[in-house]
Order: sequence, then structure tokens, then C-alpha cells
Amino acid sequence: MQAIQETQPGRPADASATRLEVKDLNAYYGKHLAVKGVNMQFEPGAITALIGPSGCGKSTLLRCLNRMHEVIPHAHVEGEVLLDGQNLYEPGVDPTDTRRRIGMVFQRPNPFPTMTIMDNVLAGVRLAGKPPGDATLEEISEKSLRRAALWDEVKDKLHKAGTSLSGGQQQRLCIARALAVDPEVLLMDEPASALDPISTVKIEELMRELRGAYTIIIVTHNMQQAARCSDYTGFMLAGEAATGELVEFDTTSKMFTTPKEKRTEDYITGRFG
Amino acid sequence: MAIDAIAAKGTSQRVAPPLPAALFGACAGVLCVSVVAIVGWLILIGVPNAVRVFNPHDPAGVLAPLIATAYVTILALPPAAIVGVFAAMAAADVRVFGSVARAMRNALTLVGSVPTVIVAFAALLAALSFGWHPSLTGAALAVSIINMPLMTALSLGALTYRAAAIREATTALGASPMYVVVRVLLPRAYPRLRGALILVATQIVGAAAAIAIVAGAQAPGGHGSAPIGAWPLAVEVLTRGSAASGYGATAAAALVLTILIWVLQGVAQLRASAESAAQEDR
Repeated sequence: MQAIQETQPGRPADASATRLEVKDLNAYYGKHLAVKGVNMQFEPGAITALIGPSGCGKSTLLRCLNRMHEVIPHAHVEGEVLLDGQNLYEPGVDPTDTRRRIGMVFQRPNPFPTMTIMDNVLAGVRLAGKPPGDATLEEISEKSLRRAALWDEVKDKLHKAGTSLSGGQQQRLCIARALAVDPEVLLMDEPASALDPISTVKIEELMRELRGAYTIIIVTHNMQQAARCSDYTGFMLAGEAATGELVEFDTTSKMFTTPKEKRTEDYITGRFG
Repeated sequence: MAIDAIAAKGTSQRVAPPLPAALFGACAGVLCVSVVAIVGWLILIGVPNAVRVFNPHDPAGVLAPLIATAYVTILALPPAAIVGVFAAMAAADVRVFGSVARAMRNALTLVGSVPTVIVAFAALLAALSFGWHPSLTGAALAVSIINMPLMTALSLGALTYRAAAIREATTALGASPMYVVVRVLLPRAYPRLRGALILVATQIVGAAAAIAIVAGAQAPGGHGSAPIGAWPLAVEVLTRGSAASGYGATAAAALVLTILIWVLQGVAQLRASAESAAQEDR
């Protein structure tokens, strides 16, 4: 593993300046050490993919980044996650505030079933108590839906149930919901794995459009997806006692053409996993 | 050809082996015969006496017992519902009340497993020790307590039904655990809570033994006084089976009680079906 400092060429000028860094991170489920000794630095405004076989701790690592791991009973984290230099696991740091700064999209679309499309988008904003900036709720709703490439499809049915949309649309609605609170980082845990190929393409296009404005970290089983969408890739693997470790972390182009580690090459070329 | 073979194989796999199929069929048959026999007996004996039980001047009439049933249900249901729903909200997320929630889940299992008659008898003894006479109001209170574990368990099921994804999404947006339970899980559970309420009402209407004991109908040395001139219908059926009114009138009263419970359960099922259809539409 190594720190990645160089800037991706061609990134938009308004790229997010938020720097996310992981230092000596261990994640536990009870006494079981699920992820061990991870050190990473996520490039602001870039898309970083975490790949690896099932059970290697990719999702666990992702959930550690916005303190969602600790929501699981008996789960805890050691080490540091630094957001602009502040350790998110320091005493006194509000986890709910952390989760507003670091948004998350899950594997399966999970719009709130009792809410309309518009209310779904605004759920996080209402939770926060006040809209970010001077924008009205309607403006935030439209802006978020446009960013999520969903506005044209739902603008005439904003007051229909969020669950009335197709699976792909629901996932983009969940992305719009995450974007509405104006997060600095967006975590995506296999966001397209439950979707059909057309919806998957739309999610990938959306990620590319959001690149630069947000630091995006995506967990994926799909290596083609990682190669297509991400600027950086981290490869994780479970070792002894099913403990996941970060084997290699580099630019996606290097990872998929000249990986340093034999295990990375074996995984990418399909020799295991 | 290959597809046909796979299809044929798939079809053959769906046919159950003969022995288990025969066993399951026999059990289903026993159940059907039992239900048909009981209902048939009720209809056969009860229907000819139906005129009697609907005659308000007949001592075997069901009008007063029905009013007493409604009285007990109206008194017993709200406390059971309020305590049940609030206890379930506390138990729905261990992050809200921590060890209290865990303790509550364990207590729920423990209390729910105590036979209702024992709870009722304990309530009767407690009432008598305070110098209270057995009454319908006391019975309603005890029946309410008896049904609290059921209401809590049903409410907990309603609150946590497929809730993991929604809970996760709300938490990831920065919601507190309390907000998740009160503002997201509770509104989402309303249709199932309505169904739970009807099911608990059904239990109260049919909770014969417990009401009988707590109302004092079977208490040693006391008959109690029925303020409405009758005990609830379930108690009447239980206590008057061999009384002067005769089997026929009792069977008719039992038929009325059974139909009443079927109506309540039918309403609950209709609501559940409507909710399922609405969810599919969404």
C-alpha cells in the first residue's frame, strides 16, 4: 500500500478539496479482526475503487469511513480516519455530523417507502434542520435530481412514491438523496450490483459526471467497472483468520496494467476470486 | 430438446415424495375435519336456538354479554396498545435504549410465555388483597395486561419488518437512532400496527378463561357483580355450558362469538391484503 499524492490530469477546477485519509485502521466484529492495518489516502475529487474477492473487508473498510461500521452491534474500529486532518473517531466527534459530511449509497436501492420522490430527496436536508446555503427546498430537490441525472424522468411526478420508480431510478434517487445534503465525500457500496446493465451504465455515467465535485469511493466486484470508472484502485484480500488487508493501492491504469503484487495480478487476470 | 429436458426435470422436482406428501395431507385432513366438525356442531345445535339468543328478554340472550364484551374490549385495548407500541419502540433499536432494550426483549419472551390464566389469577389475588371486588373493570385491566406481551411482540414485528435497509439509509443520512425509530420506522409500520390492534382485540374478545377468573365468575367464594347484567360473551359460553339455558342456547352464543371473531380476523386480513396490494402497486 502507498499514499497517492499526484493529481489526476484533467480534473475539473472545482474539484473537492476534502482530503480523506486512513491511518493504521483495524475493524472488528466483536473480537474478530475483519480488516487489518489499512493505510490509504484518497485523492480529492477522484474516484477510488476498492476491489477484491467476497469477504476481504471492502465494505467493512468503506463503512469505517463514515462511522457506519459502529452501528453494527459489537463492531468497533481502531486507528484513524482523517477528514481534512480531523480524526473522525476522536472523542467528541458527532457520528451523525460525520455521516452528513460523508454520504453513502448502498448495494440495494432503499428509498423511504412512505415518502414521495421529493420527500426522499429532501429527507437528509430536513434531518439537518436547515438547507445548505440559501436555496429553497424545491431548488435543492431539483438540483440534486439533476445531478443524479434523474430530473427529466421524474419532474412530472415528484409527489409520487419513491418506490414507484424502477430499480435503476430508485438507486439514482438514493444518490440524489445523498447529494442533497451536499456531502464532501460519497461512498458507494456496490451501487450497481442489483441493477440491470442499462441502469448500471447510467450509474457509471453519473459517477463520471460527479467526479471532480466529490471524492467518490466505490466498492465493486466488477473489475471492468473499476477499470472504466475509477482513477485509483485498492485491492484487498483476506488472509489468515479471514482478516482483510489492503494488498495494493495505485492508479487504476497501473493496477490493471502493471500491478506490483503477484496477488493483484492473479486476481485481476481471474486466476482466483 | 435440452430446454425440454430441463423443464421436465424442473417439473419433476416440484412433485413431493409420496410419504411426506401423504403425511402432510393427513395432517391437513385432520385439521380440516376438526374445524368442520366444530363449526358443524355449532351450526347444527346453535342455529335452531338463534332466535332465543337474540331475544333480549330471554335469559340465554347474547345482547347483554355482547355489550359486556364491548365494554371489556374498549377498556382493555387502549392500555395494551399504548404500552405494547411504546415498549416495542424501545426494543426496536438497541442503540436507543441500550441494555434496557435488550432486557425488554428478554422480558417479552419470558412474560409472553406465562400462561394467561396464571397472570389473570395473580391479578385477581392482587385485586382482592386491595379490597376490590371482582368486576368487569378489573377483568378488563387484567386482560389488558395479559395482552401487552402479544401487542408488544406484534408491534416489534411491525416496526422491524424488513427494516434493516431503511434503518441503514436513514442512519447514513445522519439521523439519530431515536429519529429512525420515531420518524421512519413507526410511520412505515402503521398498516401492520392496525392489523396487530385488530388481532389483539380478537384475543380480548375470545379470552374466556382469563376474563372468567379475573371477573370473579369462577373465583372461590365470589360471583362478582356484572354491572351490565352479564359477563362477556366468552365467559357466558364457558360458564353456562351446562346451565339451565341448555346446550342449544350455549351453542348459539358460541356461534355468535365465533362469527364475531371471524369478522374481526377477516377485517385484519382484508387490511393486510390491501396493504400488500398497495405495496406491489408502489
